[in-house]
Amino acid sequence: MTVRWIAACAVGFAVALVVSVSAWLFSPVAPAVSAVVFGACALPPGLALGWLLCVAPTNSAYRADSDGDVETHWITEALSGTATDLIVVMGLCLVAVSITRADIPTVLLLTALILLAFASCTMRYAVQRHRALSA
Amino acid sequence: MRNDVRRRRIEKGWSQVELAERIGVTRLTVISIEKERFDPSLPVAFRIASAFACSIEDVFQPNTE
Repeated sequence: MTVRWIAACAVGFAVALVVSVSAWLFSPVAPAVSAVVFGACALPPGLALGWLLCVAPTNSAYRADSDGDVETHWITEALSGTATDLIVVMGLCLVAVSITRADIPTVLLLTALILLAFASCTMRYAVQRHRALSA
Repeated sequence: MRNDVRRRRIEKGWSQVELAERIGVTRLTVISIEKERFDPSLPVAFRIASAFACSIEDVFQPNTE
């Protein structure tokens, strides 16, 4: 297992190194600072990727067989409902924007959609869990 | 789908956690199955039947309504 953790760390540092070098090569301003910042930001996701590739397959054998769990059913249902919510909200927003000719900033719109998706999925999961576990 | 998982589990003297570990699911899954709020997948149903040393039909019965 130690070897697997070392391999996971190696994957993480490799990812961070690749991102860091890319930032250093392509950053128009302060390439050294960009390399450090991008490398630092890429390290945690890189380590997570390493864990996923090297450690999880042996450490999480139980979860690999989790298709039968009720939690998997709940999250599947919640995500399905979230997709429906997003389509409905985006359609209504499109109609509203078309009529009002409002110029909404893209960043604001995308952030709102992501927050809506998180909220919808969380609420749907919580409701299903509550229904299933209550009397 | 109706089931008598809870009765059989109590007869065996197992806790919900112990049954969950035996059949490879989470405790919440066992609770949901016992409350008949969740129909388990076929592999899980087979594991439950195996844990109780009986057939699936003995544990799970379809709703006739």
